[in-house]
Amino acid sequence: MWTAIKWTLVGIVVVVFGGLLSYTLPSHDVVRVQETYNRLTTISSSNAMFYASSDRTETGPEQRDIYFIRGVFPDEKVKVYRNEDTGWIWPPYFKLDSSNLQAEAANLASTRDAPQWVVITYYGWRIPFLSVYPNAVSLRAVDSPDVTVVPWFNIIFLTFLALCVLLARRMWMQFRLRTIAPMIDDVNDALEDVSESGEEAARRARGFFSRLIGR
Amino acid sequence: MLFGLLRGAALALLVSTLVYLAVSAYVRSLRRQKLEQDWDVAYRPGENPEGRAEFIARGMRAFRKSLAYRLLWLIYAVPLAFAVVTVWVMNHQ
Repeated sequence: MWTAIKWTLVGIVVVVFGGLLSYTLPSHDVVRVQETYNRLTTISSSNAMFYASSDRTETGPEQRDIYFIRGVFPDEKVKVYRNEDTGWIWPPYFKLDSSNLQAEAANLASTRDAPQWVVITYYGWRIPFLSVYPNAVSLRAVDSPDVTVVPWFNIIFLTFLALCVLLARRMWMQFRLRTIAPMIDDVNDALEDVSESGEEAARRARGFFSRLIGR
Repeated sequence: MLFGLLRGAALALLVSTLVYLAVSAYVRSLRRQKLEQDWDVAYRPGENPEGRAEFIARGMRAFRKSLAYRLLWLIYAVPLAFAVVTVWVMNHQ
């Protein structure tokens, strides 16, 4: 029973955290820009968290003009990117140049017969069901669609993140050893001194604290 | 726009401070543990005129002035530098 609950919680944490990383970390696509446009877009409460937050004060569905970039893969599949500033907080891309990016994308637009391939860096997911689009962050022209993009940033970032997790684990173990354990010992010492009538309560309290710290 | 920058900076300052406090407590705890062990290995009771508590206190004072401990300010500096570089890389043409 407790094992099932524990593993369910672990699973939820892994899915949520993995989802967050998958959504936020940069990805790359090699596409041909077919068209760039802006469209008056209705943002509702169900997909507002996938768009840039606005400063408006009124509630309810919001309509906003948003830049979009249509991409076509070499195999003719398509993907539509939005192009919005991220601002200063989350995700921390500090992207403020969406107008410039839109101009660059328009400049690199090409036809099916004479394709100009571009590597587009973006984050986010395409969820058609919720009208959610990945956000294009930057793009550059490449000669061939077979270009290999090494995700250096993700390699370095994930390595750093793993080191941080290891450090946090060691910090927690040190905290337990040096701060919590002596406190428990103090409590246990105090409980040793309790008179005979308190023996039973003391034993129960010791059991409780031992379970609390898991030893 | 400017308000967003201030809010982001305040949030970053808060998070950095929490990390700084936690990591500095951790390295001080490690150092104190090492000083305790050094004393226990080196001296029998009464062998050193300086008491165990003074020995540890002196070691901790020296540690707080050491370069290694002062380098913990990088917890503030490195993310700030990283943010500045990101702003530059993301927005220049």
